[in-house]
Amino acid sequence: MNVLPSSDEGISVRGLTKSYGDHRVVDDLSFDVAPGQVTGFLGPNGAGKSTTLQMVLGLASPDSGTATIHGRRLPEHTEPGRVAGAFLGVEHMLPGLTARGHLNWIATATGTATARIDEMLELVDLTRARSRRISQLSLGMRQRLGIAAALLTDPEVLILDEPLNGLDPAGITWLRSLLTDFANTGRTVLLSSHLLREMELVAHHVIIIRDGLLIADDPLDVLRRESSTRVRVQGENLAPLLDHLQAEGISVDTDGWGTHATISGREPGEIFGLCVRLGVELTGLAAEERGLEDTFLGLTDTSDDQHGHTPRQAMQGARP
Amino acid sequence: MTTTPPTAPNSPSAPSSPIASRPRWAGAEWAKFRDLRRPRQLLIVTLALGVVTAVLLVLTIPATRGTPLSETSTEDVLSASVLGVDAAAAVLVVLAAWFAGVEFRTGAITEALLRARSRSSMVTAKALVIAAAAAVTALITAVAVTIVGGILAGTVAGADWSEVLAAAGSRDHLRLAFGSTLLPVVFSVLAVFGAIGFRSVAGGVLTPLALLAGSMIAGWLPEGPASVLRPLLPLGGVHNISGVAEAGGTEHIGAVPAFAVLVIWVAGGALFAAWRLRRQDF
Repeated sequence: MNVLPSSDEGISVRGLTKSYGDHRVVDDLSFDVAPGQVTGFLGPNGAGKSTTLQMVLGLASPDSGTATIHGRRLPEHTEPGRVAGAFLGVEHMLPGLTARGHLNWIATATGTATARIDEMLELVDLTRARSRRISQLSLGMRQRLGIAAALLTDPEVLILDEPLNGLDPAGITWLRSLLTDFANTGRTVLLSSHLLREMELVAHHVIIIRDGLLIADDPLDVLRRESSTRVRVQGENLAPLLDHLQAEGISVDTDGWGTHATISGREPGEIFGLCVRLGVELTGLAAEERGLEDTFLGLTDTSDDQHGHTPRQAMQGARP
Repeated sequence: MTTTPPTAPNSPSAPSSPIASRPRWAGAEWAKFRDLRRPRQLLIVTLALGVVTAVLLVLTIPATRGTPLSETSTEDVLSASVLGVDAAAAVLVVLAAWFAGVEFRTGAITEALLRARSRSSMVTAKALVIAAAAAVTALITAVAVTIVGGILAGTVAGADWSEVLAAAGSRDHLRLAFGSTLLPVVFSVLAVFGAIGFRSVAGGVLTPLALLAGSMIAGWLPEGPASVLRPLLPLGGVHNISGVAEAGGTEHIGAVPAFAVLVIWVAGGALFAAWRLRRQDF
């Protein structure tokens, strides 16, 4: 889990809980989103991502717990628009407004200089479509307009809900560059998605939830490492190899007899070389590709519950 | 597509904010109102409907009152024409309900809520914009229907033009026209509060409609309860200000108390809308 700096920058969620009727949508959720990096907020559809973001943005009240941005609830800031910019989906725009009109009312409401409107339209390549009604824009154009609106006030924190929907590959590349540059100025980016494949291209850190519960909160590199190739080995006596790996702190699953083992975090070539050096005779060596997407699906698959995993245990369980 | 990175402050500790002035929520609502096509279309419909209704009401006087136009007084012709503003009021109420309610229907309200420090300021801003638009449109419509009524009185009814001018400028006619202008303003603002309070266009339309129906039902009650209820409803307030409520009638309480009644309705509506907006999740 991230550790927030003492300046209270970024987003802090503590014990956040929200129910609609009997259905608990968000369940005692706690995490931090640190500045200076792009944090992905992942989970399958219905996991509680949007509800969590709504509570972070002050649009919904939690039953219990807190969600603060820069140390306070967003509506408690003197200028909420200066603190956080958000994009919650293309449906949250008045379809009858023009692209420029949409940015114009937000600029007026937040006291933003009007010159910034044209700057943002240019940034998202909508200058030529500025007079077109939102209803006449393509999904991708509306996505970009929504992102322009979120950036209009040059906020310290950017929160985007499924911003990659409708963007073509060039658009995703553009957004990745934009968000990375934004985060590199020391500001905070939190974006949600239900697709790890897309998030993988943009995020540095991921928070994964399922059924409103925290499943994982790790740098993407860690998740990637956990998901990378595993090596299965067979031999009459693997003990020297296993002792060596365990001494190095490398995770190994064995069958208990010392004849079969699954090793994580090492390439097949490395294991083979190690066996040669240690004089371990192998009868079999095979790479087992798992993949990041498989890891994500494994983490968010509700059938894990059948194995009695608690949410955080699910992450541990995914780690060999 | 451009790949220009977003404009960012040179250093996080010394950001150069593009926020140059104080938030202006009324200005933001006005910007929306101006940019949308629907308000412009409905404002034109308002004016056209007011004038057409005025013409129809004047020309059907022989059928509705059993008196030929030539024998109808200029004052009666003018007062019939001013009823065109009441027809226009219906369109203005729909416009108000749509303007405030469409954001709830589409979810666009969240764009405003996440940038607002106080949700009640948004209620006030929407009400102010609608009140201003309704007042200007109703005033233009009142002038237009008075001109139409005057032309019909001078031509079809054969009244003397100096008599027409005198009647149009008389205290009674001006009071009636003012009251008729006030009706769409008050009911449009109440429609805004209804749309926000009930988070829908339908809620915005039905709120003033329910209050009008309440006035009608109160009129059917025995004199005792009617004289208590009718003046306390918004329509009663407008009727007292416009002079439609006759002295001695169950609706009459005088212009000043009636004005207070309207202020209480508008303030109460604003409080209701702000309370509902504050306590709801989006």
